[in-house]
Amino acid sequence: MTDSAGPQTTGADSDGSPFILAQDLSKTYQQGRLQVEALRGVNLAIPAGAFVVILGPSGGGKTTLLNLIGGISRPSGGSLVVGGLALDRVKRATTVRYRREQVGFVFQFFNLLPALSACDNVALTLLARGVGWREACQRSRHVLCELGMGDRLDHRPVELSGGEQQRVAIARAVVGKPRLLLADEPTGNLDAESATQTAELLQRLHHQGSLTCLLATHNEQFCRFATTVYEIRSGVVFLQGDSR
Amino acid sequence: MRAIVLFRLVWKDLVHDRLRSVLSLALLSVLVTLFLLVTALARALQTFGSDEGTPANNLWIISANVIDPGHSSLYQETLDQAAADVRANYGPDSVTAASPVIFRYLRVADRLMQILAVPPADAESVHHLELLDGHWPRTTSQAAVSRSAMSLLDASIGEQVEVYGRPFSIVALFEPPSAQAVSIGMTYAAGQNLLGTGHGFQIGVLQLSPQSDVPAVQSWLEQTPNLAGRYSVYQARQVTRNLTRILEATAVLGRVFQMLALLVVTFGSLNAASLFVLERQRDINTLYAIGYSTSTVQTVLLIRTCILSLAAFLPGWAVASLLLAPHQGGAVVFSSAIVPVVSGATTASAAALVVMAAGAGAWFAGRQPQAPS
Repeated sequence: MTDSAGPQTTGADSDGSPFILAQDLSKTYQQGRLQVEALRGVNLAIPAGAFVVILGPSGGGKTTLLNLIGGISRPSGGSLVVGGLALDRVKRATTVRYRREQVGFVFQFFNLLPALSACDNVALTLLARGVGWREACQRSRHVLCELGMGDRLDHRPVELSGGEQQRVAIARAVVGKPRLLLADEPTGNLDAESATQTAELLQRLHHQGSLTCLLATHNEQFCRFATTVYEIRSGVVFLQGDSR
Repeated sequence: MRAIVLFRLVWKDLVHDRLRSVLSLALLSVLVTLFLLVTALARALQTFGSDEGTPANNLWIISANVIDPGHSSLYQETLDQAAADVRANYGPDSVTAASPVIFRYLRVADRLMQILAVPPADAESVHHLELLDGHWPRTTSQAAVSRSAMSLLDASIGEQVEVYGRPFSIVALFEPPSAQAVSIGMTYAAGQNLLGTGHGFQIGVLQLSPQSDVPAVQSWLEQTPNLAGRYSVYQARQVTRNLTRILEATAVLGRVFQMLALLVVTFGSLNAASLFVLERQRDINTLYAIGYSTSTVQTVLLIRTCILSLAAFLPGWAVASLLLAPHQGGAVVFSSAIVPVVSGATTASAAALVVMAAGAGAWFAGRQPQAPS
């Protein structure tokens, strides 16, 4: 286990270990005087290139799990290794680099910056890596065009439909070619048609590269694309089965 | 990450949210204006309130039970007798001069000013009026004008000033012991000419020798048959201090208001920064999630709040200067000028403080990344 967040060349780890390995993972929040156990004794072993769906009701711990795997928050207990990086032990600067270079996030409410155009929102990911504005915009335009958003490049989020906003958010997540895509209820705020399109888009992106996808959802529609489905209830994760 | 990229992001945000930007700017500008105005007034009051006034070894004899020396009335015989009494009791050298002063408050060019009519020979040696330019008045149509009065009158030596319906040529610029005093000086004869001799003069000044025990002489003299019951004897500095004591309290209040204004503008800036962060928490958390470091996000917030705060200083300073422009000559209180000034140092230090407060707001608010919702 290293403290480096640098990109690795292959989807599978060289020693054959899972891309994501969680052992006895737990997360406890302090809410006033109350201690809330959001995750309890979670064990996961996800190979590189997998398409994993985490099913569960609201408040079950899906978002917490994605935040831990995405390096946004730290576990309270247990160990968590992603791509050889021990997220429970690394320094904060390393998790920032990890998020910047290896992870793409897709959120339920899209989380696009309202002041920026679709193109600028996508470019944010590259700008964080130190890519110049012009080049970042060029690459962002290219990705947006690939996702069918070529005629919406200069539109602000408020000028886009929910489905379009989510496509921009997905473009922002994949423009930096991350190894891991984390999507938290990506269709939770979309109509049925947009939800299907988004699901198919995520599946297409997964097939195109060696991307490992983790989707947290209560929408069982995604299960047909998944290599593995986990269920999460009250902070405990169960393996539902291999859908293949 | 390049600074130009951060500036570009901030600029796009400011332009996009222009109504909020303008409102924040307006709020900060109002606070800055308030601060500069209160500071200007407080500084003017402090200057006035700390004035040391007239020299320590002069005794003033004025009518008993008058607060304003302008309402006093005494005659040469009384003053001469007082000088003789002191010499008889404390020695022939105990009194170095006895000089009458015609002292009135008159409205000159619509401002209340002191009129001081003294024998020309005593002007410097007894009354400690310092000649800055020109020469002391020699005729009944000449006047000397104090620096504060000159500024209020917007006049200069060689010009004329009308006092009580009579024109006087300004022949001197002088500074009275109380530097802020707005005074017009003239010869004793000119004072008599102008104001008549019916009430004698207003202040009898006894200049004691430097070795004198001034408080002891004061107490003793007040009990002499010549003065007892009809006249009061003050140490000259004490009179000035009595007048300025009221303003000293105001000066203290001024300092308090100055501090309050500074706190208001500082916390206003801090509040604007914190509110913005609170409002944009989701955007900020998104930036963290996609790989922006805490320091980069804090820098973005800092740039934004600094731009707003510094931009607020321009209109704030302009409005404060405009509001103070008609009062550059100063307001006159107890015939002393209170001159409010927006100083560069005050503006710069307040700007630095505001930027620091805004920076602190951005730093504190941005230091705890959260998971985006």
